[in-house]
Amino acid sequence: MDKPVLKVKNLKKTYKFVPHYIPALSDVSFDIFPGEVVALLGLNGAGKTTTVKIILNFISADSGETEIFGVDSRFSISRERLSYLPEKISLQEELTPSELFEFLGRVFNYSETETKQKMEYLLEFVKLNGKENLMCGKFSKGMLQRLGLAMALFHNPEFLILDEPLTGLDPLGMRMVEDVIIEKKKEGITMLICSHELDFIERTASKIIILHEGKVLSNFAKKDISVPLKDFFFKVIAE
Amino acid sequence: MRSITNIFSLSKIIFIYWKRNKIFYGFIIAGILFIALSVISTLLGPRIKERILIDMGFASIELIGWISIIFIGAVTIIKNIDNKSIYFYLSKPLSRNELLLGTYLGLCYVLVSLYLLFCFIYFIFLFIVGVKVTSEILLVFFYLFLKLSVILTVGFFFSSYSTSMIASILLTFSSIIIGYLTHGIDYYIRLAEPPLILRFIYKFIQIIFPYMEHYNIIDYLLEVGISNTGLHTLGVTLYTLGYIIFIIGISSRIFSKRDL
Repeated sequence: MDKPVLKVKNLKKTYKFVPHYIPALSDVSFDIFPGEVVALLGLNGAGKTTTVKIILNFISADSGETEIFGVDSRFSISRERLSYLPEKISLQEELTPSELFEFLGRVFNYSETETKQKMEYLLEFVKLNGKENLMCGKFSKGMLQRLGLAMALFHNPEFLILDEPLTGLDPLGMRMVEDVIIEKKKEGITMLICSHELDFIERTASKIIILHEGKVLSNFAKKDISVPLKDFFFKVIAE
Repeated sequence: MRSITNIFSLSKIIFIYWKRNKIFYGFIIAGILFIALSVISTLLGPRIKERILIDMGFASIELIGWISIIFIGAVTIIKNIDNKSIYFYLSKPLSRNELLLGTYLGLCYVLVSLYLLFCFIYFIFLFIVGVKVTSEILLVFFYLFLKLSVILTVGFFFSSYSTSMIASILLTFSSIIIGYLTHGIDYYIRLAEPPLILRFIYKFIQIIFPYMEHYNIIDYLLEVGISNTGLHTLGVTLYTLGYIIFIIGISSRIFSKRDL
C-alpha cells in the first residue's frame, strides 16, 4: 500500500481563552492516500478549520501528530509539495500579483524566466491576464480568489488543501474552481477539501470524512455511500 | 542558502508593502514639516541660527523617527496576523524563523530609507542656511540611527507576541521610557546601596530593557571631544548589535510557539 500523503493521528486541541476552555478537537485521526480527493465535512465549529490550521502549522495541537509526505508538518520542508487555498485569500493590498509571483518563484527556486512564463500562463488561466501590475487592493473578492487559485497552482503541487473554495465566488469563479479540481483529480493530485457545498463535494470527492464537535463521526469512500450525500450527512450528524 | 533566499525575498516584499503604504508617506510629510519648522525657527534668533537649526532639526528627526519606527515596528506582524496575510507566507515552505527574520530585515530597509531621507532633507536645509556638516553632527546622527534601530527591535518584539496593535505600541513606548529611566536608577543605587537582591533585580531590568543612556552622545562629546569617541562608539555599536540579536532571538522563540 502507498504511504499516506497526509497522516493525522490522535489530534487534540482545546482553545484556551482564560477562563474559558473550548474543546475543538478530540482524538481526530485520518489518512489521505495519493490520488484521493477527501472532503472534510461538518457543521460550523465542527473542527474543520482547526484541523487544517494544525496541518499547516498555523496553530499547534495539544497532542497528536500530523505528517505530510512522511515529514512532520511542523517543519517547513513538509509544505514544499503542497498548496493551500483558504476560504478568503488575504494578500497585502499594496502588492501586485507580479511581485507575489516573483516571491513564489524565489521560494520555490524557479528562474526569473520560468516564473514569468508560469505567471503569464496562470493569470491567463484564471482570466486575470494583464492585471499583473495592479495592486491587490484594487481586486474584487472574486478576482482575489482566482488570483489565490493561480498562485496555489504555481509550483505544480502534489497535494492541495482547499478551505471552502467556492465561498464568495461568482458562477464563473465557481465553475473555474470546480473544473480545476476535476482536472487535478484526473492528474492524480491529492486533495483535502473543506466545504459546506454538498452538491459540489458529491461531484468531486472520492472520500468523505465527517467531523462533529471535534470528533470524526464517519470516514468512508464515497462509492460505499449508497444514498445521496446530503441524506447521508444529516443522518450521520443526527445519530 | 535556501533560508537566506527566503529571508531576502520576504524582506523585499515587506519593504515594498511599507513603501507603498499611505502611512509611510504620512511620516515623510510629517518629517519634512518638522524639519522645515526648525528652519523657520532660525528666524527667531538669526545670531544663533546654527544652534537652533542643529538642536531643533536633530530633535525633529528624533521625534518623527520615534513615532514612525515605533509604529512600523510594533504593528507589522500583528497587522499581518489580523488580516491573515501571514497565512499566504506560512503555507509555503517558509519557516516561522525565516518569516520573522525576513520581516525584520524588511523593516530595517524601511528604517534606513526613512532615516536617510530625513537626513538628506535636513542636510539640504543646513547647506541652504550655510551651516557646515561637521564630523560631530555626523556622529550624533549615527548614534540616533543606533537608537532608532533599538526602538525598532523593541517594537518588533512586542509585535511578535502581542495581539493588539495599541498594546504593542504602548508596551514599546513604555520599554523605551524604562530604558531611559534605568540610568537614573543607577545613580540612586550607588547612593543608597540597596540589598543584593534588589541590585540583582535592577541588573536584570537593565539587561532586558535597552539602556538608552548609551545613545546620549552629545554630553559625552562635549566632555571628551570627537577625537576620543572611537572606543565609545565601537562599544555602543557592539551593544546595539548584541541587544538586537538578543531581542530577535527571544522574539523568534516566542513566535515559533504562537498560535496564529
